[in-house]
Amino acid sequence: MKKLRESGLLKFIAGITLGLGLIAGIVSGIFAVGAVSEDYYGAGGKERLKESIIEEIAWFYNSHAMHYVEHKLNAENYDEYEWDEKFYEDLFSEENTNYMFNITTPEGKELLSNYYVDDVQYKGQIETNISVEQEQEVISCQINVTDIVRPVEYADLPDYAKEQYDEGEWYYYSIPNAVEYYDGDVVGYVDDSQPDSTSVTVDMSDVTAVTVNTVEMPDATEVAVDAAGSVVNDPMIPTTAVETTEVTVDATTEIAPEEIIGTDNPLEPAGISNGLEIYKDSDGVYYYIDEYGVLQNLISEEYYTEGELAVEEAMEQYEAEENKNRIICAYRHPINLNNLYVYGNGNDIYINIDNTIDYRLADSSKYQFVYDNLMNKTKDYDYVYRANWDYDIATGTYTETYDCGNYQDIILTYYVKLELSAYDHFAMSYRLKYMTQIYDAALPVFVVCCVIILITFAYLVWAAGHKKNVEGIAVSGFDKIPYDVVLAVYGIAALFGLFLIAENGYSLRSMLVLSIPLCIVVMLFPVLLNTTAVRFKVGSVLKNTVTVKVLKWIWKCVKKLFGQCKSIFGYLRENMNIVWKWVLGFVALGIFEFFLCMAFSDMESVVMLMMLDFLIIGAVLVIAAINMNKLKEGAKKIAAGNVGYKLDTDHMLWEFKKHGETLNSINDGISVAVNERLKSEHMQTELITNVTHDIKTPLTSIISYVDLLSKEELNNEKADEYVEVLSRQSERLKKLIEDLIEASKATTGNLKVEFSDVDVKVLLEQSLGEFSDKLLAKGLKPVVNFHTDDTVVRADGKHLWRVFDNLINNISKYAQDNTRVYVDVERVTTDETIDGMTLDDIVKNSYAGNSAEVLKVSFKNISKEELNISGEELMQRFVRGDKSRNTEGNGLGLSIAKSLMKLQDGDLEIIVDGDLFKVVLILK
Amino acid sequence: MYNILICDDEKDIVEALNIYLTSEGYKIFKAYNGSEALGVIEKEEIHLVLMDIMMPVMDGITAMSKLREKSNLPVILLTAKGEDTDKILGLNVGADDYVTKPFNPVELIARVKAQLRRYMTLGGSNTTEKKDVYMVSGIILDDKSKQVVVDGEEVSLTPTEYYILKLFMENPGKVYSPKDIYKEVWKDIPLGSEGTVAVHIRHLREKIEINPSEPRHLKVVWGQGYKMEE
Repeated sequence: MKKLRESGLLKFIAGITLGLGLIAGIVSGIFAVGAVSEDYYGAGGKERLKESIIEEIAWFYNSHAMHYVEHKLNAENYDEYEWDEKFYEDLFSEENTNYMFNITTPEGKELLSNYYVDDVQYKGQIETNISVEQEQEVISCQINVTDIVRPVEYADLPDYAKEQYDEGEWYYYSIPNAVEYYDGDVVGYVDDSQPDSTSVTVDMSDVTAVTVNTVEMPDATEVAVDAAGSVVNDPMIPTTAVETTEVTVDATTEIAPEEIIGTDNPLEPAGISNGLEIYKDSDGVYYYIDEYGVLQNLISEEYYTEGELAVEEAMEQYEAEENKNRIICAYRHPINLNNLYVYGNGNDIYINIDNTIDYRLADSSKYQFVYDNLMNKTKDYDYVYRANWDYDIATGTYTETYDCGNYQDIILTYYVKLELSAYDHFAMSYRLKYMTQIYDAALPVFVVCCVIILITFAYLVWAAGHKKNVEGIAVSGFDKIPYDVVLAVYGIAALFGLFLIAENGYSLRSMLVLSIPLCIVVMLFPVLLNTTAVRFKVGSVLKNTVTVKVLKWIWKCVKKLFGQCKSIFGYLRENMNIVWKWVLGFVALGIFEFFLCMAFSDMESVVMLMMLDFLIIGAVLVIAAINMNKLKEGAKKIAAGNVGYKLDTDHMLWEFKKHGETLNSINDGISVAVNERLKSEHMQTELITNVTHDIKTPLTSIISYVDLLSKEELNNEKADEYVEVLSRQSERLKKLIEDLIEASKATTGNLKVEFSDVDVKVLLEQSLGEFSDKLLAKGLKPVVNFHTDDTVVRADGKHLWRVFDNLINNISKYAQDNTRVYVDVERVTTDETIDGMTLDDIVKNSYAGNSAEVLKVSFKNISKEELNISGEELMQRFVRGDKSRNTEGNGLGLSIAKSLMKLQDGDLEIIVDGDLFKVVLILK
Repeated sequence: MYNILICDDEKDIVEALNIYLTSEGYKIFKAYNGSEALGVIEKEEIHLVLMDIMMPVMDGITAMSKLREKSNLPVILLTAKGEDTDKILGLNVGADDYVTKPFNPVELIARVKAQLRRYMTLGGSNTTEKKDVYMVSGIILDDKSKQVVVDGEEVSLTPTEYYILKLFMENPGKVYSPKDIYKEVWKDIPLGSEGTVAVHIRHLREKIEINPSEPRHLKVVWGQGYKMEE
């Protein structure tokens, strides 16, 4: 076993066998596939070939034989005869075997009578010799397919043929001076320049009279074939008695122009040709007027339908410059089975149709003679063909020229396209003849090859890498070449081999030669197999490839590049302004869509794009609006003092999220500040409360004991006086502390303000009532003037009372005795001025520009002492009007009053004008 | 002879109060914090308590709320905190009256007397509801005899003052504006002369209130009018 594995010779042999097996396998496989799938030649292949050949020949036959058959079948209704289909039916039907041609397949089988194929050879070009003989009623056609006699270069082809060849529409065509007919069409003609053509000229000037025998022709439907195969009711054999009419021709018969009929178009004379007046209508169509006064086209449709051959010819002549004004009247080719059949019998001429063709031929008795002569003169010829005619009305001379001759072999050349289709019947026939055995043998050979391939393949894989005297797997230098390089070289070689065959393999021979490189490549497969197996065994199949190495390197580069891009984008994202982000985004979108529009370039796509844009931008805007709304609502709440409120930024996008977070952090800051402030206010309140307590407690003792002391019998006048001072001053201290506390509360805003509707009038009455005794004692007389009935304001009654209390108390203390005190209450608007200062100035601090109506209460009194101090100063704490400070009071009253007024959204102003002391209160 | 408990952490104040009240003929017990006060109340028969709020160990509010679980003897709070909230808290917890420090000894004694009178003579027995007799928080107005008794002491009023008081007593809690009062009492249309109402009311207050500037019964609703406390 080991020996078997390590044997180099055995491996070599196995390799060779594998290579050969592969080649044989591929070739046999191709054929086997063809055989099995019947693509080339299978069970139905033969039938298809037969059909194909029949069709092919039928087309060929068509052009030659159809007129004859046509005539036989339906001479009258030529136009309507659907010979495309019916023809074949007639041609190949059992009853009409008479008209059949022999077709002999390459296998020697006779397909159709009278038509046979000698041989089919496939050599790129095939020449067919066709002999057409006219016998009594049967046309025999021979198609001889012989070896190539005359290869034709593409360059030699006429332009139209080149064109059609290029387009692949035709697959054969004629060379000049041969029969031309086209694939699928039945246009064909015999060239009149055949060397055997002869011209016969008949002069009619000596004809005096002829007898025309008119024969009634049988109907087309009556034409039939009897059992023996001969035609019943042959139009060429008169079925009725011959009626002879004598006609005298007056050559000078003239036709009046007014007798012209046949067209609605206005006609213009267009000259005279051959003695006939030619007219032209507005469409540019030329007419002449026949002897019956009927307008006839120069080239009438009739001619086309009567036989393309003649018409084609006529057209050519007509179109030639020198023949421009010649009337062409093409005759039907006698052999090509025109409708007209002229039948000569001694002096009688039988014409099958008397009025549908050229009247001259039908009516002129001269023609009998002409045809008599013609028949005589041309009886040795296979065909007679009128090539030319001339009629001079002035002289009455009518000349016709006939081409006539015998049939001969016509050389028909097929040019087969180089790229043969698989179904080309020549290819089929070739295969039929030579490849049958190969196709039949393909499948068994293929199976055998497969077995051989499998065995040798398995052996080579198994034995690969094992070498004599070497432990493990032997790796040769070849095995170290990168695997993909080896594969690429092998693959390119294989492709090259395939290319050679595919591009240049016209023939089997060339294919054989050109397949040598591919064969070599296939033969080298065992080497590839060996190295592959070794690589698999060693495990270096993928590792040792250039591709993997390059991919690894690219992956590294891409990773690095991606990392850099990421950091750049990250930088931009972090550092770019939102405005620039949007601007750049829109510019990019614009450019992108501009190119998209350019690419689409049709309106619908652009509109669609616009709609898409609208959707996208709309969605973005809506999202932005939603986010904006969230921000707005959140900011409102924060602004409204909802300090603990947190914006939900989890569901926000883009910059809005950042902005929301900023708001949140602002709010955090505010809430910290508010808390701090609350805390500090709370502490302040606490402080005041505690200080109050701490001061009041000793003060309580002092007052109490001073009181007790005053009740003691001291028996000392001075001591009594001192105790009295102590008592007074401790009371003053008590008052001072109370005022101080109140002032500090009022200015720090630690006072609760409870707004309610307060009637200033009532309050004033109450206040004055409280002070009535005091004022009376001083001889002060309050004069209260209400300049308005609406004296209700929005304020805190208690605080306002404190203000009034302070003011009236001040008055009672500082006003000049026995004077009047004026109190005025009025409603003013902010744009009025009071005493030189606009009210706006006064209240703007409290009202922030609110121009509502306010209530003004002013207290006026004459000061007892000289006021050498401004109103501003008076409102400062501990400032009193009297510098001496000798009366009771601590100077806190006005300050507290002002603070309390401010707390109630009001204001207090002091105006000092000489000894006039005026306090103005502004109330909302 | 009534027993009064004075409770304050400031010994000087306790001593001063002791002197005042002893001279009035009361028997004085002393305590220096809330829990001491509760101890004394348990042991002795106390008729009135004067209690400071801010005290160590147990403050006045706590002590009083504990006291109120068992007893309804009158308690006058002494407070250095002049805050309204403190006063309200004290009254809510069950104090019968309060006096802010520094107090006026005369006022204090008057309040003590008033509380004792109410507690001892009227306490619980003021159900004798007679027609034409109005009773509102310690003030009794007998319309028949035209007699007014405040905290057990008869007060002499002028006719105007009497009718004003009667008006308030008829509808305690209702706020009367000076105009209303003038209309009701003078039976006349007030044409700017309602200013006199304030003066009368002040005089009335001086008669029925212990401290007229801090009235307990006839209160001023500043800017609106006056009302009788219910």
